[in-house]
Amino acid sequence: MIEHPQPNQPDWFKRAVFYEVLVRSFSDSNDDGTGDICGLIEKLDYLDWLGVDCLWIPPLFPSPLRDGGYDVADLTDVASELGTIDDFARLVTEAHRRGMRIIIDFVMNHTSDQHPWFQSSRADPDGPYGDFFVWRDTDTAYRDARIIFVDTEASNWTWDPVRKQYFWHRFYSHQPDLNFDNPAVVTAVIDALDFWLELGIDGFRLDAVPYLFERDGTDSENLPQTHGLLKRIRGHIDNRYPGRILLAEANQWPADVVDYFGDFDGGGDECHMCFHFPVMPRIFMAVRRESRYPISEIMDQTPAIPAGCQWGIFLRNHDELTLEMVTTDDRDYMWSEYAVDPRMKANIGIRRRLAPLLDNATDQMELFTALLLSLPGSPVLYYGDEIGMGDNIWLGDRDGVRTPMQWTPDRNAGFSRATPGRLTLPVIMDPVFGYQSVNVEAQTQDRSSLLHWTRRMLQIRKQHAAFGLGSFGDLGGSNPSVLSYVRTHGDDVMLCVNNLSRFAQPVELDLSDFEGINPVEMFGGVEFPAIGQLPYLLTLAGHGFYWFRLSELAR
Amino acid sequence: MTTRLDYLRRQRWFAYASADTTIEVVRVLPWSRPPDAFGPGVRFELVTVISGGIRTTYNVPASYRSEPFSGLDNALMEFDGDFYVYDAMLDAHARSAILAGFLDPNAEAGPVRYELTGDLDLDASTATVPLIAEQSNTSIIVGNRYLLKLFRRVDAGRNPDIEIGVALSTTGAEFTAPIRGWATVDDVDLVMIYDYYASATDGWDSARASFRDLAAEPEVDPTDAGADFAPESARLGQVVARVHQAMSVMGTAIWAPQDMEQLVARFIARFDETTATAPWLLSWRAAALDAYAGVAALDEPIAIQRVHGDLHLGQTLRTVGGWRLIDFEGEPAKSLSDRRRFDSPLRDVAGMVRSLDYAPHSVLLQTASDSAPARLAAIAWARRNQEAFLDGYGLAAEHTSYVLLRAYQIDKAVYEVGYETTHRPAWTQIPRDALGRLLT
Repeated sequence: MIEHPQPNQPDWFKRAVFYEVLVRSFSDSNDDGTGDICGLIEKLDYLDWLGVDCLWIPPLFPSPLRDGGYDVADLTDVASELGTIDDFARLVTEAHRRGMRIIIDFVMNHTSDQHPWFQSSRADPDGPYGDFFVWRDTDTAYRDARIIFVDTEASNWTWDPVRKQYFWHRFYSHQPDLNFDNPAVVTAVIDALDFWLELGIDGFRLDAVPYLFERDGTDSENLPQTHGLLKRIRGHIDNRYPGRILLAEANQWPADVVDYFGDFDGGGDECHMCFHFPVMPRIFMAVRRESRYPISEIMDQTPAIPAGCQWGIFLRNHDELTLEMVTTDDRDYMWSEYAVDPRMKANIGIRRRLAPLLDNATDQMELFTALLLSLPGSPVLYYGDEIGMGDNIWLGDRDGVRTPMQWTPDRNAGFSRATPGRLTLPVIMDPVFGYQSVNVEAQTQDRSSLLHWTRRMLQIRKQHAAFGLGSFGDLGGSNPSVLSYVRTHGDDVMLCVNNLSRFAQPVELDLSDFEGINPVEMFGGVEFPAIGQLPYLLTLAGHGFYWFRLSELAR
Repeated sequence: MTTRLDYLRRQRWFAYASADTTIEVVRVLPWSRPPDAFGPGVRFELVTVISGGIRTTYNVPASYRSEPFSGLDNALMEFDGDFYVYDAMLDAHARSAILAGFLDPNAEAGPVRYELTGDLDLDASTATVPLIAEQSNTSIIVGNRYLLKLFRRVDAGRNPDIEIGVALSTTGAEFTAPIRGWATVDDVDLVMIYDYYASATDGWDSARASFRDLAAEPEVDPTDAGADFAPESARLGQVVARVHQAMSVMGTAIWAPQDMEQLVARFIARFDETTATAPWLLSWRAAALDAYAGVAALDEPIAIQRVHGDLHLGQTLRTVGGWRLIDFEGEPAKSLSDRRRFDSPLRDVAGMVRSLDYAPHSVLLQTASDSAPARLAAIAWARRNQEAFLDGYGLAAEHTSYVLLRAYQIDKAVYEVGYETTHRPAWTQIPRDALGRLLT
């Protein structure tokens, strides 16, 4: 087993900055046009320099790639075009050597129809894998389960001409759901988890966890059996691999998501982390509306989580801008604003990167990132957003936001030395976001670049436990366009003031609890006037923000 | 040396600035806290003022200190030979003494009686901070959880804010700031205490923030504007409807024909009084009377009940849990019986509709924007949000509601003309333009 960095920090994930990196699109070490594990290893120094604490790597498994690798054909191997298991082990070692951790995606709910388990199951109903999937003679069971991919799927049942039965699938019809009512499936999945844990990884992002079990008379989401299985897996990991984490993808309203943390009083006995999906569309909404209420409301409605747990929050990821968690009115509105082009609409959501979503406005990108880094939860950055990369809406499915990382202004953006035609996805070449203007090399040299700014913000975040561990107190204030809150952890107190409007704004804040303290602005270290008995007046530039430290030392 | 009257004249809640104003009598209540070595003496004092032959009584709790207290220079009312007398609401020690009555309401045997409607999470050390920017009363933030509102102009008889607060404490609490208690001497209400929403902003600020966004790009259709407020206006309409529904527990009635005539008579009287300060109104008189005559001619029964009476965006709070309405005192300048009179809930609706017109136009006025696109944007914003509000309120689209609502709006705009002409002449243009739109 590979030795772990800082093994004495079981709560590491609460303070970590995560970085989602698509191996295929990050760096190509063998000139075949596809990014690979060795290419990622070469870029670990860059990620370390940036201040990333933990990499989140979407599926590396062998896959027919009909669902971005989430259609897994082997749960215990890496796709040959990405490298070998030995390469992966070296990646873990090299990351740990730099104090960086790695979590990988793990798809529990289903496999690809190319997975040997499914091939065996359909060919030999009485064989060892015959009961690994959910087979029925008719397509009538579990009728109350909604169809998630409404654009492509007509039913959650698909007829298999080989076995001459229907199989159950909550996602695409080429992704049969595993049958967790079969104990052999549970054992096989836990064995697969152990395979990766033995390689030294620090945890899993569990894809699509609400759907593991299905029962008639329910919507077959969030069932008690599903929670029971997660508790069993958590117990197994705590026993054998302490310090490793489970991060759940449960795209549900926060009041339902908290169930995936498990027992509250015991500190949580299911997943260590869950994504807080509604935060992201609410941030977009709040800035668009120039009103803090979309964010204040969702913060107010977010229940407390067990002591051993943490939210994961993000602005963008490899999927669409998720709008499932906004109301119908809000969703229509978000569509009308961000997806003028019908090509951008697919399923429920919008596939765009942060920079083009914000019309490449640096002040807005900075404000969004400042919110991401200061709201409760561990932030997850999406590769390329640190330099303001663009997207390519003309690529199919979700590929528009998966184009090669732009390293240099050279050929293929420095991503690969292959002939440009061999790249799995073309690099961005438009005049605004093309690699000749947006790339790591140029922004490394430019001290005022978005890249340097992001790095500096990550440094500040690291210095203050309040961001990762602190309580959250919405200060309200006199101005509805200004969102102000205090993050407090012991004597580490950070005051965050965000102008969601494009216009300059004043705000008066009741800071009477901190009377006598001089707020210190963290980006520049400038001491502001002392807080008195009267409301504290601040003025902010359009989309401006402040992070102040409120310390007894500055009294 | 400053005098008590000088001090009163400087206060925003004191209505009389004329030269013949005199203090007729000061009714001194027993010490809430006697002066001693540990702190100031504190007591309620009711100051009756005569101005132009009109008597008004003000509630002026005072803090008696044997030494000048630094930091309270602005709160010094007078020196009475023995004591430096401060406005108690600005003196933190004195505020605690006034609040102390709520800690043990049964202990007070004196004439000032404290009453609680439920639990109050307070102790002797709870911090108090004056709320700034208030007009007719003085409020104190208590422990960041409650507001203590001191009624400045007081009358015999239950204050409607307390009366309605109690009535709504069971059914309407989620749409108001629930009342926790009050203090009274004889039948004069002195203070009330109710829940405070520290992170809320009022609807006026929120609405204006929305319009500023549109004003920056007036060519954008309000439907597509980023800071569109219509969903908020609709939710606000829903809340006003729920509050009206809850207030109906205080009784309902139907206006008889003679009541309708009296209503119209009050409309006309207001109009004619206002022409004295704004003679240009006379050119609109025929059109206004025509609109009022439509009310007199209504033959459907008009349901009446207790209403807010002074509803506008400044009386609405956007909290993280949604909208709440506050300040059920009614128009402070009116007599208590006027303020308690049953009225059509459409009076409140008209108040909100007018306020949704004021919000965008106030931005234009303050930014000196009078380009045609900016003016059209203000009208378009107001119309969109008024429609959303009425939709949220659930106003039936039928003749009676339309006629009555229009008349209330005209009456409100006329009131605004009178107020602005006297206090803020530059703002008169807002109700004047609105009248133009309402009457043509």
